[in-house]
Amino acid sequence: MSQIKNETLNQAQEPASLDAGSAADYIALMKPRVMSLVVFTGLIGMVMAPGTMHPIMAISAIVLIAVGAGASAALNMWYDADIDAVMSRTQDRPVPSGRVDGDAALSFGLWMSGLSVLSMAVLINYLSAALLAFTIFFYAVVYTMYLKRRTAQNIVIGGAAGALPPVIGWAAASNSVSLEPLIFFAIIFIWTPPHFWALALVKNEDYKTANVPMLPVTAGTATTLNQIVAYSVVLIGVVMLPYILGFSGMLYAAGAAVLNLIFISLAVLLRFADDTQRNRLATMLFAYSIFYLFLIFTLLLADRLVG
Amino acid sequence: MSDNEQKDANGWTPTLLKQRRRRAAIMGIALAIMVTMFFLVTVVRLSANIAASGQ
Repeated sequence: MSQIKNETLNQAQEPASLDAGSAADYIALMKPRVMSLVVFTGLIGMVMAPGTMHPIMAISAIVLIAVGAGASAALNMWYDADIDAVMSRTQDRPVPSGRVDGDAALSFGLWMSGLSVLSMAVLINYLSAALLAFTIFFYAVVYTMYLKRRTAQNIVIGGAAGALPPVIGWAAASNSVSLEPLIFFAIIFIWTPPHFWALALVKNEDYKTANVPMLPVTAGTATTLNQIVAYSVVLIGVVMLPYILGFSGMLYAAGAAVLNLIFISLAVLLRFADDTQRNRLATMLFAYSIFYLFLIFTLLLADRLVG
Repeated sequence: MSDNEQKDANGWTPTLLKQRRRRAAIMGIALAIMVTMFFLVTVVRLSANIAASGQ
């Protein structure tokens, strides 16, 4: 008994694991690049919503969406440290590299989640707070803890978490959810599989080593390429819905048509590429898909401002 | 962090202490932003309510 007590005392004298890691490591824990896309799409949802929102309320809502996104990323990095450690793309992340302790990442993620959701409820409205809470839960628990290691449809279903920020933005501004934000949701939801499968094709060996059942690992390259083309065809249709349904004009339609043409061309070129060209085209599609989503939402905004 | 760094009585090295101070400073700034945000949103809401009651 006294031995255990002495060990506990000795441990207490060591610097707590919570105190390891620099501020930059904690920022990296929040996946700032992913956060920028989340903030951007959330902002567009907010601007597109009916009615006006005081700038201070709008800035607060955006900050809280960013904090919520960062929190779910920290929880993801805490839980996925084991697979991140064996993948070349992720092994330098703060937790697998040992710069931030796993427990520290967990408590950081939990505190930030609670803080963002409660602040959203108090400062903005309950609907956006509930949507933010659902998004964090869906990403950290449903996607990270359940889907990611169990099914090749992980990023298809898990894509819902990444697709919700414009809906949260819309709800923050209008305290309601209507067809328009659901179309924004659908755009990101359908965009996610070809975006991630392009990356998974390039990092196939990594995912195999980590035993993550991404589609190229479980179904092979040919099936993945067909699925990328299939989702790209659906995507170009969904992206035109804002124009078809009448809440975007010709500026959006023309811009989206050009972007769609490039997207589907890259997907088809990738489908028929030989082994020597495949990785290069998959990397191009992955990079272009990020650019594409940014521009699609920029066009939505530009069209609204011009119209 | 170098293994050769001298630890104080609690096991802290100068590098760890520097990291802790920087984290504490950032946490302080984040708290200040949060408090300011709560204050400003309260003022905005109060102003809106006062304006609405005067109509």
